[in-house]
Amino acid sequence: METTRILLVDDETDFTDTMSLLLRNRGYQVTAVNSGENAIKALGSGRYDVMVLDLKMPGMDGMTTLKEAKKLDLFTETLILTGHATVDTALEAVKLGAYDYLTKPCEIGDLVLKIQGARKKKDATEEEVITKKIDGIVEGKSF
Amino acid sequence: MATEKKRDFAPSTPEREAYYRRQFRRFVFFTTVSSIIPLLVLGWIFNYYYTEFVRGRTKASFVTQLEQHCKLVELFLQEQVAKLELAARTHRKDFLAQEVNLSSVFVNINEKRGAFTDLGLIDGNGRHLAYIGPYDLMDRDYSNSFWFQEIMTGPSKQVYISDMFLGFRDVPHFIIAVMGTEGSERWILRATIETEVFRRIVEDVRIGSTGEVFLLNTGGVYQSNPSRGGKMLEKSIFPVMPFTDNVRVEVGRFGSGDNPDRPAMQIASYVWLNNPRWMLVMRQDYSEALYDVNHVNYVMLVILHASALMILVVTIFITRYMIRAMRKRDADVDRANECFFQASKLASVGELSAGVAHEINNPLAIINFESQILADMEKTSEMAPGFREQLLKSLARVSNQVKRCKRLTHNLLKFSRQTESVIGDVDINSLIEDVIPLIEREAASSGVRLIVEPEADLPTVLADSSQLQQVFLNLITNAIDAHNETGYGSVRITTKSNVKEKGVVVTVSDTGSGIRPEIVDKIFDPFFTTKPVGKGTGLGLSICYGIVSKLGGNLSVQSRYGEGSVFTVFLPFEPPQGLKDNGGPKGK
Repeated sequence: METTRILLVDDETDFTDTMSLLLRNRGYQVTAVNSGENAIKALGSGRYDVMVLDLKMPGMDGMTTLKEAKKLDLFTETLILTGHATVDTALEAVKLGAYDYLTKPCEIGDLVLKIQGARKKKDATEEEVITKKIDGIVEGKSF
Repeated sequence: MATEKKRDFAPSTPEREAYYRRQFRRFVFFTTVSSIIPLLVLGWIFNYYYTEFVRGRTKASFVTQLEQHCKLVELFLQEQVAKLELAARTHRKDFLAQEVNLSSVFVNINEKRGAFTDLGLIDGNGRHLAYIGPYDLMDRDYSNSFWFQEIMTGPSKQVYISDMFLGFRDVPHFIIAVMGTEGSERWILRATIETEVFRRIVEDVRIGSTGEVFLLNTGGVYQSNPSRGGKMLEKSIFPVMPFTDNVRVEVGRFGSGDNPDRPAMQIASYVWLNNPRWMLVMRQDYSEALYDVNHVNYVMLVILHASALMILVVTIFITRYMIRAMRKRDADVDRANECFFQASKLASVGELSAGVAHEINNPLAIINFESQILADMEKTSEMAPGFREQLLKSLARVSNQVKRCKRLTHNLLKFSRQTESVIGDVDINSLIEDVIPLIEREAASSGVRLIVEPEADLPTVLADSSQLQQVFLNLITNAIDAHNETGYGSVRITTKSNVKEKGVVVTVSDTGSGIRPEIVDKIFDPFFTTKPVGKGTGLGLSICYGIVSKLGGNLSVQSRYGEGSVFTVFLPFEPPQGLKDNGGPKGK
């Protein structure tokens, strides 16, 4: 399996620096951006398996970023990592298509577990879609 | 959760006290002015007019009484005059000159009343021709007597009535003389009126204890015996009034016979008789005459002023009561303001702490990750064993403290969000069903079995679903944590409807370590925790209690140390009125 590519979205640089180092030490490929807009740009220009997204950001906040990301119709799974998750915001995020949520501060073990889960799901979905496409070609369906 | 002590009156400031006093005075003043003064004015006016009216009536009746009495006296005199005239006109002088005849005439005219003392026939020279009576007057010569001269020389005076005089007999008496003519001859029939009889007639009037009736002649000399001092033929202090045709009445100090130095105010009515020219006077002490009126007047005034006084007293009491009500209202307002300020302070503290909690999470996360980085590096680095040991210890501690901070800020944020409730129909069974998967893993790792026994067709409860979710999550988590020392057990969750109490009862019972009896009362207090340092914050149950209370319900616990605990949540079908109305749109 290839290295998991992570897009880290959080407005606080100290946090992204620390988290990036920690994850890289554990063998992940991490790209960090500091705003929702930059996240959308990154998603458009690169390929990522998991996006770790903060909710509270100036400018485009987490929920809006999530909505915009979904519009791009990528296989990337999103993990919400936020300062305070209420039942409502968690539900809303899940409804919008997030894979799971975590509250800061979190245990690295939990985080890694969820990243792995998200990666698995992304791979499974991707495989399923590609298989369908191939079947479609074989059956002569246009796409 | 101690109940607030009710204070009756808040401590009042001097300005407020001055204000109350001003209001008191003002109100009493205005009520008094608007009610007492009109009452008194009207009362006095009415009283005055009424009293004057009655006084007038009293005077009028005085007048009437004298009129009648005067007629009585005049009638008496006229009657006697008529008898004499009849005798004089129907008998000749010679007839009357004989004593026998005169005697028979005398007996006749005296039959009814006995008004005549004597009867005498006097010739034109003033000498008795005949005399019937008790006195020895046969030899008397009346030619010089005033009455003889009056009747003989007076212009066509046929009848003469004298004043009282002593005369030859030295006893007060008065006479009626009737002139008879025979041709050119003139003779007089003279009779003396029995003073007693006349006196009785004059004085036969009832006029209280201070009243009297008397006759005065034109010279002011008593012609009768006044009952209040003074004697017949004495000059009276009473002034001789100008001659009038009718009865006059006057009020004044006329001098009383028995008290000439300090004469009392009297009411006196007088009338002039024609023949003789006597003034009939009736008088009475003014105070006695008007005794009844004055009494009524006095009583009315007393009642009037008593009413006024009562109005004043009642006003004062009512005003005092009102001021007390004002005080109480002000105290209530003060207290409400206090609560409001407290609440808004709490709200701002809440908001502040929410902001702080939120902001602290990021630094906490960084601390956590940084220590994790060090921990990761420890695995692949060379270092002195002592250092490694210490490093691992310190990193572990850092991690624990971070976890502790996290729980604190987490609960603080939850606590501060307890402002508005979003009320909707909540199916508690499905709520619990949603909550179970969130803690299934934790229960499993603690060796605790989760048993859920919901009542079928449980009615819905009008409440805030996300808040209730927090409550059940907390209770069930606590129940699971209670097994930390044992490592196994079960947590049973039941739901039941209570129609009588109009609500739903949810119980969360565990087979854990239980709660010691001495701390059972404190478990709902904020910041009270039995968990070791770093584990619990003590906010959980107090938050739950707050949520349940606000929804109109009740949270209670029963526990046996060493055996387990049962937490019972009661939620009414409908929350209290105020809460229902406060439910706002979603979105915090």
